[in-house]
Amino acid sequence: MRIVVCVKQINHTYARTGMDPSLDYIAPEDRVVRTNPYDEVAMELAVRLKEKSADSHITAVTLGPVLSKEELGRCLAMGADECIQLDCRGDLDPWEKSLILSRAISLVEGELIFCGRESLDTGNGQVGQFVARHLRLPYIGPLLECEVDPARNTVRGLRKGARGVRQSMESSMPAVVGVDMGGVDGRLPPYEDRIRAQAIPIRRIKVNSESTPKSEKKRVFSPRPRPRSVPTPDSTLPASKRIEFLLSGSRIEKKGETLRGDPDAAAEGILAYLEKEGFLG
Amino acid sequence: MLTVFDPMLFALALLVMLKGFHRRRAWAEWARKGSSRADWRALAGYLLNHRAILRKKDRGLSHLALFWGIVFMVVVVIAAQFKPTLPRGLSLVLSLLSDVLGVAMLAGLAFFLLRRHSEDPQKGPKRALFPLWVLLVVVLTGFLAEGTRMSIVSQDSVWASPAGLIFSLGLPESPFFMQLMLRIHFFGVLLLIALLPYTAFRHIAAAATNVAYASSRRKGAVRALPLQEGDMGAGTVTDLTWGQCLDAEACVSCGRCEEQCPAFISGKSLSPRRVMQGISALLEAAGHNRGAVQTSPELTEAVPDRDIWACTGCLACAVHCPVLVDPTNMIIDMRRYRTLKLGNLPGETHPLVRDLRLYGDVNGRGAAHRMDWAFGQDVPVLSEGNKDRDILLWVGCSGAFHPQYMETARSLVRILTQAGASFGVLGKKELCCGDPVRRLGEESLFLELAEKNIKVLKERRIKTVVPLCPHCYHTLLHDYKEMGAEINVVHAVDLVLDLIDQKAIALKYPVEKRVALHDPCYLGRANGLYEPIRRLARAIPGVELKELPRNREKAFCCGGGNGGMWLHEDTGERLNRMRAKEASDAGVDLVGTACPYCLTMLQDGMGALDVEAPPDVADIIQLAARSMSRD
Repeated sequence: MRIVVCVKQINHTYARTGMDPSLDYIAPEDRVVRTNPYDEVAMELAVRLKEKSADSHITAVTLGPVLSKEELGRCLAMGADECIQLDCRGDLDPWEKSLILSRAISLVEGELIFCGRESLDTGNGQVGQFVARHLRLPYIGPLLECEVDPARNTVRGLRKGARGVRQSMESSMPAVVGVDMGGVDGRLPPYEDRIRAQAIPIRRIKVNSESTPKSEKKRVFSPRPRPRSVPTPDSTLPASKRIEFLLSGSRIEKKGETLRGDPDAAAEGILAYLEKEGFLG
Repeated sequence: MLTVFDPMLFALALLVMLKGFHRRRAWAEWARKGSSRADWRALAGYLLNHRAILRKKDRGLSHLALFWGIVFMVVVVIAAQFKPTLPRGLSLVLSLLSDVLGVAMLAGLAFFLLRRHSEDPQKGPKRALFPLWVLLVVVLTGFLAEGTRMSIVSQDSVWASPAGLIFSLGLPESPFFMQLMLRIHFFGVLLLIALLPYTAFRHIAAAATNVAYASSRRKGAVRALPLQEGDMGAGTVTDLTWGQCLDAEACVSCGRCEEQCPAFISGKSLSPRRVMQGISALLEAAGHNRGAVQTSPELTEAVPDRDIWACTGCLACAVHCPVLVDPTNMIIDMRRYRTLKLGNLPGETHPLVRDLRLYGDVNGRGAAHRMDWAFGQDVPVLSEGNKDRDILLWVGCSGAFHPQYMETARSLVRILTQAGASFGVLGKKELCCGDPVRRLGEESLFLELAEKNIKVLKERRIKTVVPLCPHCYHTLLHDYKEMGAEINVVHAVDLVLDLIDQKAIALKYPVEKRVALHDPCYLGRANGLYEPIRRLARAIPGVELKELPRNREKAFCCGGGNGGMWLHEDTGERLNRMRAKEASDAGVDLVGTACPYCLTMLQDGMGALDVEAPPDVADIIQLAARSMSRD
């Protein structure tokens, strides 16, 4: 099985202690170079799968310049077999990034593609889904853990639902899997593996990002919680009632509707919705 | 009397003994590499004053009797072979002395036999009993032979053989019986000599050699690990250094380490004695065939993970060992193997390792926030090529980030400022000293941090470093110096005492409190600094000093050392609660210490006690600063 893990290197700014407004008040020591922690967990899940089936091969794909070979090496040391660097410069939006990534993934014929659910810096959380779209593959996630059923050729795992609920998801393979933190911890590889990882060749592919279509920004919706406002509760009510009343206020009213039932019924529901809203002509 | 066969039998016994020692790995290695480092004079001093052994009175006195008894008898018997003509008076005194020592030996043997027999079989190997029984037979047959001789040949100076006289009362006047006793006596001695390397009496040679070698070894030393050469700590007995092998050989399973080990006392599975005995058994299995190893049994099986991660590195075992065995450095070597080679560092410490790697401090707050503690204070930051400031205040991760310890750091700054000392800090260039990860076995990260720190120290031409934390102190003082840092390291408490002595500061406002002191392991046991914190506490007016039941070298560990701050303590009682309870029961208002780990652990422990008003916990420097001004 060929597994691909998308690893993002980030220049993580954790403080603003600088004095210079032209540098956004960021001093050199306010930043650390690290790999995205979600991607580290993705690598961990990939390595656990590799440990179960011996013929697996893990390719790490990273976009942009290598910020720190050492930090990237630490992630690779967890168990990657090779690393592809898609070298391109400039600001890319999630759509462009996912397009470039998906080309590389199809190049190595990845069957199972792991992406962190989002990155620590931009936090868009879109690239995984977009990659799935470009590759015409199903996307499941963000999963906390996952396992592969070789007989049925499926990948299955749990993801966090609201209020402590865990949802089980399953998809046919190949698939793109988003990975969440909180399920497994990334391992601390043995010293010898860390030394070996420094020697893993990084295959550099030059990418001209000029040619990739950019997404066009039409309108910006800033996401924000929309709590239902509640008046001060009646002080004569018992405490439990008052607490219940107050708690009902912070709940975010979701406008969407969750379709339940078997996939056919769900598909019917989606079609009915799209027709009703006039998306299908 | 001796026959022609006897010297041959004696030579045979010696041969068997030498063969036994030759087959033991520790000796082969020691003879090859270590014998030059032995300090025989230290051994002589150790044996003459017997202080380390006499720390436990009952066992110590029993040992003293056996030791001098055997030494005396061996010297007399060897001397007798040359048939010297002694003045009658002297020979009578010698006879009296041998009787007295013989009785003392009987008493000592009775004590040891009772002790080993009544002991839980888990604690000590029963085979330690065999040579004791043989020795008992030797001593008894000696007396029986003497008694028979006295009943056959009546002497005038019976006062010189009181024990012999008593024995002679019930014995036949039979020369045959005397000969029989003498033969049994002789064969017993031969048996002891031949079996020396195979029984617990091995310690006569092993412990003596270990004392000669280890008396110059400092406590809490961790050996430098040549990672480039593929050395990853101890996975099998072949990975142990000869010094460590010798340690394991020297262990007599007396159990004094267990009596002091906080992990063992609190009900965890670790027992330093069992660790040493386990390694000793493996050495025995591995050591055959002229010291070359045929099999290399895994230490991971003999010493399970839960044992080595329960060690808090408090050095209580090493300090109380009568034969100077130090199990802690072996435990660290085993941790290194499990961390570096197997990648089995416990999961709860992964965030620590990641934070140190990325941010350079144990809290993961980052260099950018390193000077937050000094906000609004006049704390000069030393820059490269510094010439004018001679004292570097080593703030440490706790001083920079731990809320209460930040207060201690500010207290020290106030003291130094008032004293007019020219000091500075490294500011954002200071990194963690690396002690927690080194003791968790992550040597590569320790080296990374230490090398960066040493470079910064060199660039700033630092001469004197004053750390607040005893763990930083120990690491800078020993490990950094071994790595090439030319610095003079003084603990903050010592510096404050100096300033008081020089009358640079005056502690004049009383702090009316009953104070108990908790000795930090890495000031006290590791570096022998028991007195400075007591002197400083006494220098604060109004302080009524009270000792905790377990103090100085018997001080109970808070549980924070050896990475214990970050490890889960999920079996047995919690160390910090036990120590907090002890302090709270002592009826004091405040527990003073000089270590951020102790402070944190004890505070947490106090919080968990079911006591209405548990004592406060504070750093003794904070207390000194409080007494310096009125507020």
